[in-house]
Amino acid sequence: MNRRPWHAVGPQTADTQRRRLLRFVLLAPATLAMLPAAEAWATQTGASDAAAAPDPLASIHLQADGQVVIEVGKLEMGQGATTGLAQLVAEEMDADWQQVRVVSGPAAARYIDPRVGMQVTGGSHSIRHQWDSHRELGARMRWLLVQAAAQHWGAPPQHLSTERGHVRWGEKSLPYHTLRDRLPAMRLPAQVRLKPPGAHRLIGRPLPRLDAPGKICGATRYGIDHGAGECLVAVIARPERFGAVVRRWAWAPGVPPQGVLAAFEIPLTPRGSGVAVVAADTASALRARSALSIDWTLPDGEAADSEALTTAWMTLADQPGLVAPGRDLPLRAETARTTELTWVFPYLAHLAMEPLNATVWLEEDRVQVWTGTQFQTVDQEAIARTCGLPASRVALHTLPAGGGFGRRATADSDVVVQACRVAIAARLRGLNAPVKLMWTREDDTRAGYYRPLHVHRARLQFDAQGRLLLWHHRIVGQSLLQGTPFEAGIGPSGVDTASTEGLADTAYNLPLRLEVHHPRCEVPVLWWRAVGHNHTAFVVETLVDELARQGGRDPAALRMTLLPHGHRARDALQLALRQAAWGRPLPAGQAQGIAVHTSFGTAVAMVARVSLRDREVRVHEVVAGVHAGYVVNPSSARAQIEGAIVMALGTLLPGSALLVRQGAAVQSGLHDLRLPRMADTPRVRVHFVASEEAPGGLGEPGLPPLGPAVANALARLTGKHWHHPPFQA
Amino acid sequence: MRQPFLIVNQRPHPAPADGDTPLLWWLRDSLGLTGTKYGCGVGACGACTVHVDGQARRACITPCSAVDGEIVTIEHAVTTPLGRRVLAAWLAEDVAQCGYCQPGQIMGAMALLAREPRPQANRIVEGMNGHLCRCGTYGRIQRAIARAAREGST
Repeated sequence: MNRRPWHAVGPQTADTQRRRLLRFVLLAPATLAMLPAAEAWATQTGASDAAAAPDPLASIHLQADGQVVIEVGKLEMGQGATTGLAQLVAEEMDADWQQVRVVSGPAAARYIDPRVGMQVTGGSHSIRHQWDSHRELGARMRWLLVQAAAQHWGAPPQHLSTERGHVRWGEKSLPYHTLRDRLPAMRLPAQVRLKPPGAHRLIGRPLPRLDAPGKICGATRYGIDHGAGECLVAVIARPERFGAVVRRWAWAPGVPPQGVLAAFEIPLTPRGSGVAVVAADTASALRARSALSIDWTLPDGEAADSEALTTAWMTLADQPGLVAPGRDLPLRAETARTTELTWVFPYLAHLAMEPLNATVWLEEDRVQVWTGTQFQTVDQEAIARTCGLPASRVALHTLPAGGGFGRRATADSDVVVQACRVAIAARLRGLNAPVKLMWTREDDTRAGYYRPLHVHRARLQFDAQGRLLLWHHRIVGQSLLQGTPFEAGIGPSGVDTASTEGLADTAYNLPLRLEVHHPRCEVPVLWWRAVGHNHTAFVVETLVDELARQGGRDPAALRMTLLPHGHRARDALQLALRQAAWGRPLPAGQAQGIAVHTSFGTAVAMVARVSLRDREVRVHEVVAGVHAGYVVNPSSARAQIEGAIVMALGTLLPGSALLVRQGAAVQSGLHDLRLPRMADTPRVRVHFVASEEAPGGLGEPGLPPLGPAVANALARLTGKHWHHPPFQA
Repeated sequence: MRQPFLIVNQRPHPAPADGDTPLLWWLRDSLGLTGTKYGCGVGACGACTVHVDGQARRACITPCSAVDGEIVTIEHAVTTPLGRRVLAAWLAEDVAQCGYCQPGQIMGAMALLAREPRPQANRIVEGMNGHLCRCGTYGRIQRAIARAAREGST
């Protein structure tokens, strides 16, 4: 069974908030449109409880050629979840791994995660939440195969064994696929026994990813590739300013350019409108869009400006805010010594390599959508609402995505909703064909849905002996859920844990009082990888280093005294320190910095070796110690940590912050918004704590510790605080 | 000079009527060769890399009318001896995560190895730094290229 996350104690956690959010999604009477869909899902499975034992025959397809096609409910966006889940199934069913293939299934009730109440890929929880269910699925399939073979041979099932895709009885053996016609008649077992870790042949092995061969030779079809050359292509001329609305539009040359099949105004999400152009191919659509002349009505209110917002929010951070549940220690009078620290984190764009897209085929009484979405349940509902169809008439096909990082999980389902609106308008104009709505890189960069800008302020109060009496902290940042259909998920405190997770629930034994402000502003905001942890870890870990400095303590030793016994972070930290030879003499001009952070069930410690030359930060090497419980695929797991390190490093590079001026993004693409490149990549060594505990997440936990590890190294080199990433040259 | 035909993967195809059409979209939409990817449209990321007479070119900023040689895309490149060697190295190092940038990376790597069969580490970085990977697989790409180079000389 999955362990309850040990860091989820007392204060409301992100898990609690997400569960609350999901109860709202499924049961809130205000959203009547959702109820028929819930009933439709129940009818599909024949079960009212999505947590009831799923039928392996629905997800595991034995093909006549011997291939075993495993269908999983998760999006493959690079994190390796589909291969990992296939390993769980294949292990327990004793499949021949060489014959195993994995596909992502469509939006369907059987893929609803009972712990979250919806089908979703995110939160680093695919394997974490399905650790038992997918092994059970495989074990159930094995049971069916054994029963079928026993029936075929007239043998007692308990005398049969399974190995690499075969059922065996003494000298006899049958390949699994030869039994497939008998399987539907077999009765499912009441319960199954799972293999102990010592018996694993596949789980725990660094098996090559199943999706790699198709991807590297260009055969794999991502959302953007679906129907290329066969479907119509649409692009939208989007506002120059968040929330602007089309007042008037025309073709600059006076007539529609060649190749335009339709052009119309289209409402956008979350606000505003644009002009959509539909053509037979991408080049025609793009060319036509640039021939549009549009007058915009700008929204009321002050235009967002990231510098002005930062200044305003730093002032807000001086004022009392919403108190975080469980972090309500009383204020203190003046003490012997006080330290004030401030951190500022900019807006960040997700910038997955595959720009957003969805292909919609709208017919009289049903609709099919092909896209790489992280939010199948939410999107299916939104498609149904937008098209005026019951959810049972919505087929949402999940295609591999060229990266997600949270951008493909929006509460307002911006991608599929806009694509459906285009398809509806196109169909009204006689275009009865599938339409792919594509975001260009400019559209994707400028659309918003950024990691929110955050200001943190800490007031540390010490007594005359240097003991910390109170850490009074304020966080200022837009709430992710506020203003979305999921606003009720925030809870009565008004504190959105997406801004506080990693700090509010820190495992460190420190006297914390936490207050939060959630200012509203027109910039659309969204998760970004690791969500709250991508800034709270930076704050906590640089703050702890500051405490170590003031107290004359070694930062590693101080952390060990602050972490509870038995906490995964202790093992992770000790592993990283040992592997990095923490404390050894370094070449002149270099320093090591450490950080350890726990998120999504996994503790990751990092030691970064850094130098500074001409104000340019150079990260030479990063050594990571990871406690992720049982690692299902060590190669894939290591790759996730390596990749997250690069992504985090990117946020420290000058030019990586998404700037907002006059209500719009300043940058428009990969030419003027800096992403990390091969030359920026340090040497990385990742070490895992050997463990047979239930798996923790791996998609996101590698990101939070890198920034503070580097900042702490720089602080050792320079004696200054590095609290404002990116570190400007 | 405008050619009436363009040779792609050793086969001739009528060139598009509008010579300004970027090679990327003609390959993807007209020929159905979707292995060449759209990442930025401005030549900054390398996802659209093809070979024209063996040289790496960015198809998103190359008008069809400007193509003056034979075009090879990822679909054909991986069937050549060098392509197979590079693919094998990519699999051995378990490089791909989301995989979207990888065809472009592989086309870039092949062009590099064709020019420099045994590049030093710094030459690999120089040669590949123009290719973006949002998943951050750079370390493994570097190791895969070094591996492919080693395998080529044995």
